[in-house]
Amino acid sequence: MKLITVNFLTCAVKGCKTAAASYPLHFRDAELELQELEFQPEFILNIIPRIDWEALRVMANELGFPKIPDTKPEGDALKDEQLLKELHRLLLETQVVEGRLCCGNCGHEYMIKEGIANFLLPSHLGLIFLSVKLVLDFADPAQSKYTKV
Amino acid sequence: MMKCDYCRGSHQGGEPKVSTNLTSTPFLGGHDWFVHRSFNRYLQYSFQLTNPLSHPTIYQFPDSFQSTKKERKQKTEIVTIKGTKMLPTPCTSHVSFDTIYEPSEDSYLFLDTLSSSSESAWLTNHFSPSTSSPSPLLLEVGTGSGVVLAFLTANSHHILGRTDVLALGTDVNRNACLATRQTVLKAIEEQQQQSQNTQSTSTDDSKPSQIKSLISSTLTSDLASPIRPHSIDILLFNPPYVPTPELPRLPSKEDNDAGDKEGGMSRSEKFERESYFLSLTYAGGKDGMEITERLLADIPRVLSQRGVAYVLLCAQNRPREVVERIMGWDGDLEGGKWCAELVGSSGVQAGWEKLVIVRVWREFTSASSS
Repeated sequence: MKLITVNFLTCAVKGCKTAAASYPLHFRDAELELQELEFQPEFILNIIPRIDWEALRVMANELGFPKIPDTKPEGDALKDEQLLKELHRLLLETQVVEGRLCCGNCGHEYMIKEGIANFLLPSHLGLIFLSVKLVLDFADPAQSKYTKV
Repeated sequence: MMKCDYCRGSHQGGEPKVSTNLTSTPFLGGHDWFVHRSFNRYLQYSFQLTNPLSHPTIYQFPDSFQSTKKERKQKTEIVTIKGTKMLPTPCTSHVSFDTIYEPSEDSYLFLDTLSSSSESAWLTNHFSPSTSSPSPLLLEVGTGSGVVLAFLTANSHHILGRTDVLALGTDVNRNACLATRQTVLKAIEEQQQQSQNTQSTSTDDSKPSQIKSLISSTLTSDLASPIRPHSIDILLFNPPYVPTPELPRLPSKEDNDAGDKEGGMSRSEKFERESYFLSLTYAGGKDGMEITERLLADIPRVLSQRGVAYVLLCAQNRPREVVERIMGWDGDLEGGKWCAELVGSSGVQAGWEKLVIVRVWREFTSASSS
């Protein structure tokens, strides 16, 4: 799992979706591995615009990477090849092999094993959502949100 | 009514028999689809049956059908057939299909639809504007072997006009996540090698497209549940679309971990486990739509403004009604209007098979509104 992935993830618990504290998820006991890739400045330049910078800073700090600028680089700052190389290394070359990802809102921890995080919820967290939805759907199909008005 | 040994559903019993005459065999409930989706698996099972009260009919694919599947499988490099460029099918020889869905007609319909000239042109136009735009984030839900995700990632230059795609995949089966990661990595590597070969043999100066697309991660998850809102640019979903009396439960951590100690399982435990995981690949509940409905409901949340979703449906899912319904979804605050269109179809092959692919996206009328 490349570190950039965490920028696109949030807690899988339905009730956490609207809580600000559920993003970003926080690493616990992360075991990292470097997998070298050819440095491609154009690629990292196209990736920077879609990064949530604050979430990236939180993650980098927690993992002990110190050199992240305070704000997202723009304009001339993007010509700094050293910075691009560091971001390339952090986002694309660094892989999480083992560890946990923790939600800052509900505290649920998602295990990472062989680089694959498990976001399946134990039944007491996941089924609430499912059963409510099914009951609603079967009780009154006219109220279904897909119904054309 | 008997409890079925295989799918755990209830249906009318009858002698299992092999039917080669597809047109004269009536469809029996939802199970014709079931048998189709796990055909090889079922044949294997039928030899182990002690109780003949299982699925009433086993269909055999007509020869023509098998050969198209075979042709698709054997595409290892770009070839041109009747003026159409056929992109290579990702290799899945490393995947064990004990608990993972083997790429079949539906998977290949996905490949052919995405790489069709009309769809590639639409996607290229959509994702390659004249000014630079951020790397597209691609998500396949329920990747199985990973053949579809690998195909789009490795061929992103041909299909999207971009070489900078980031891929994500989710599946409830941990084995499928492991397999998908490998399938995508292999496909990217193959593509890179081929473009290098072209580079060394080509005489003109035009720079061949060097693929840079990457797989970000695969995740064990229920549909797109851990995905951050409005982050996905391309979503792919080949759902469990077979109508079944009930849905299998989601796997627990123990179900997924049991794969590591398969050696200690008895033959029947192993079979039980494999059947359960395969049921997750096809069982769609009422109208075969229960899982798909949940994913559709999540589309407005996960798709970015420019986001596009592709969802495969079978005839029994009533695809035209699904399209109608999506077009009636409420637009968002930015003024986007939901659109849906059938963009791929298997046609009425052998008189019984009909699969379609729906494209779902938002249309903005920014210029005309001023």
